[in-house]
Amino acid sequence: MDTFLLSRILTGLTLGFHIIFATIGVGIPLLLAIAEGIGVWRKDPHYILLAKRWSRGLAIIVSIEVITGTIISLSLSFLWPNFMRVAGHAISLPLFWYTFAFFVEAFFLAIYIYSWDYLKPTRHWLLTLPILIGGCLTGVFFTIINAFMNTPGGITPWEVLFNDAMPSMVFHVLSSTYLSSAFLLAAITAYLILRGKNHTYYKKGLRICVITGLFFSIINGISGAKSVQFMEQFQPGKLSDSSLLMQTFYYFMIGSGIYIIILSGLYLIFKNKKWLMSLILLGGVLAFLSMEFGWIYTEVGRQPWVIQGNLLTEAGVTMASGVEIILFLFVILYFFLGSICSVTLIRLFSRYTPEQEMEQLGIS
Amino acid sequence: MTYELLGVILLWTFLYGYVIIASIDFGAGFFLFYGKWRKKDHIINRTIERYMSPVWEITNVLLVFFFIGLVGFYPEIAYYYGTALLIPGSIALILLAIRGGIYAFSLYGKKDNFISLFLYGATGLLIPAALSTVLTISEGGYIYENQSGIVVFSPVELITSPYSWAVVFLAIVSVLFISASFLTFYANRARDYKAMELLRQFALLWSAPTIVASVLIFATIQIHNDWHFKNMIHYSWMFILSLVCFGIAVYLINKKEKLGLAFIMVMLQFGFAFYGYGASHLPYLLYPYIMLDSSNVNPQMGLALVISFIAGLVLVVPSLYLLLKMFLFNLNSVKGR
Repeated sequence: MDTFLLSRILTGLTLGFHIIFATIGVGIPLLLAIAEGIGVWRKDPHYILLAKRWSRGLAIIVSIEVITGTIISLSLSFLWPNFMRVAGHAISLPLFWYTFAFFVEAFFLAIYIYSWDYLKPTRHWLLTLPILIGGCLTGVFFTIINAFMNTPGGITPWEVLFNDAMPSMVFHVLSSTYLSSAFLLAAITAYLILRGKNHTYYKKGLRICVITGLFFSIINGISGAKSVQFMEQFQPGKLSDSSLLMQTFYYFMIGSGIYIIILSGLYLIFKNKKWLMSLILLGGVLAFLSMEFGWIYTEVGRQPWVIQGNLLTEAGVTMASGVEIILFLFVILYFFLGSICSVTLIRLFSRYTPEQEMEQLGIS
Repeated sequence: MTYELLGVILLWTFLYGYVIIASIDFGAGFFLFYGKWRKKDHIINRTIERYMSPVWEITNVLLVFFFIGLVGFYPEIAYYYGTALLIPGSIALILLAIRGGIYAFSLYGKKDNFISLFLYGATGLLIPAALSTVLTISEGGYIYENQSGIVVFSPVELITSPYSWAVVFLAIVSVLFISASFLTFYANRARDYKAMELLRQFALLWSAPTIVASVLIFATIQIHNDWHFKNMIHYSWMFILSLVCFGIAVYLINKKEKLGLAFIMVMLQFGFAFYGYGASHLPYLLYPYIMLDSSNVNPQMGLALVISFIAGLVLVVPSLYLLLKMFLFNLNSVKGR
């Protein structure tokens, strides 16, 4: 296989792997803020415990996100040196700010986790705001880079940051990120309820997640429609792409969006019925798949360009040899990181269950 | 002062911050493993383990800041280094990732698993060795453009070059020296005198090799890049100040006095040498292909980048201070809650 194809595979793999963690890293802070906010306001220890446990999981996700983010920002230069040579001036500003925002998130998350016992409840809740804003901005800047590649204008800071595709794309990416994260937690909680956990703790958690999910699934529908409108205007080629793959991704996103709206509506009526739990579990899977497909859709849809109308993807690739070795090593690495992350998360949550923790804290 | 010069000075400062903080972490990883291996873990590991804290994440951010900022001003750097360093650069990234994975693993789990300590220790030495070769390459002679304009990297040239090995040697011993001198101060602060004594011996053990390595650098760079050597002589006062700070640091560590000041002296020792090296490297960023004024960044973008770098520093430095205070110097936790 040639360098070009291998480089595309490796970059796709890296991005596909990264966005799992990035999505969770951007989305969960909102649920932390909501859960702890309700907990502080209603003085309900269950919600506080939800925030506490979710934040531990988030810390692990963020520590993997540091790695994958570092890999992306550096390996772009290794695999696509010509692309960086052309786009470096423009994209390094949002890339720098992406790192900046990520730093803010990680920093306040560290303090957040450390300071449960040291700060007054309201103050501690206030810490969720910089985590939330930092996380949100990582999503914004990451998306700006992609939007710039779709609709490049000038290379002054203003023109790079506020390129044509930016508003609709940022809107859509953020809404689907919050939607997916809410449904990830909803799916996990639904799974635990299916396994027979029936403490109100789980039901409260599920409620926050599904209602947040419902809110963002509606927003996401609107932002999706805006994106389509934008594409009709600026990138008609992408929509009329009749290849089976692109069509499938396109309808998959729309389908799972509608599924989640209906599902959340059903939840409001039927609450914690068993059959609904399996459907919520499926909803979480669909939400994450759509997110992956959405990124593939925008990336593949831009081909053969890496910077629309300016630089062909093929012209951006490295001229060095040995990409096959690197691809092989990175596949092993992502397998290693994925396993470490799963093992750590499973161990963290199953060795110290909410029931045990509630008992220790004296919460009924 | 031009944006380019200001930008490069700020970026060099990010890198300096990275070198110091990451060295403490890399060295700590090695000492942790050493402690486990030689069954001295009951003495030192509790002190060092505190270091496997969120400081790690900040460390990485500094490296990324440096790299992205540099590419923002000089996309050509991404082009030359990116092409040349596909394999070695990716391997360095993988090492960083392994280390990060182990960090994530030990975040809530057991910290004394032998294999993870081994990997943590090994990557602690291999990463600085790998990253230091980037500086070696900047001297020129390892990357060249062939007739068809393709950038080619010559690994044989790099492996057979005495200068390159001197840099690797310096990188590793510096990591161990910086780390040991910080941890000595830290153990003393935690009133863990047994650990302090052991770490102090490490610091003294690794002090002389850093000077030997520095002398080797001077000797080998003269052979490799005489132009740079002459420029370094021009800045010799900085290297002399570096040596003076080293002398004070070792004196204090040996006397077990003012260990905090001793570590500041170590920071200054490396600071003077680092900025002296950097200043003498200019105007070349990659000899002889990329020069300081070869950035064709537009003025508005240049300004935006410089403002971002300053904002980055203003954000990172106090945060780091706060984190160190919270996680390392919170005396309740220092004594091992």
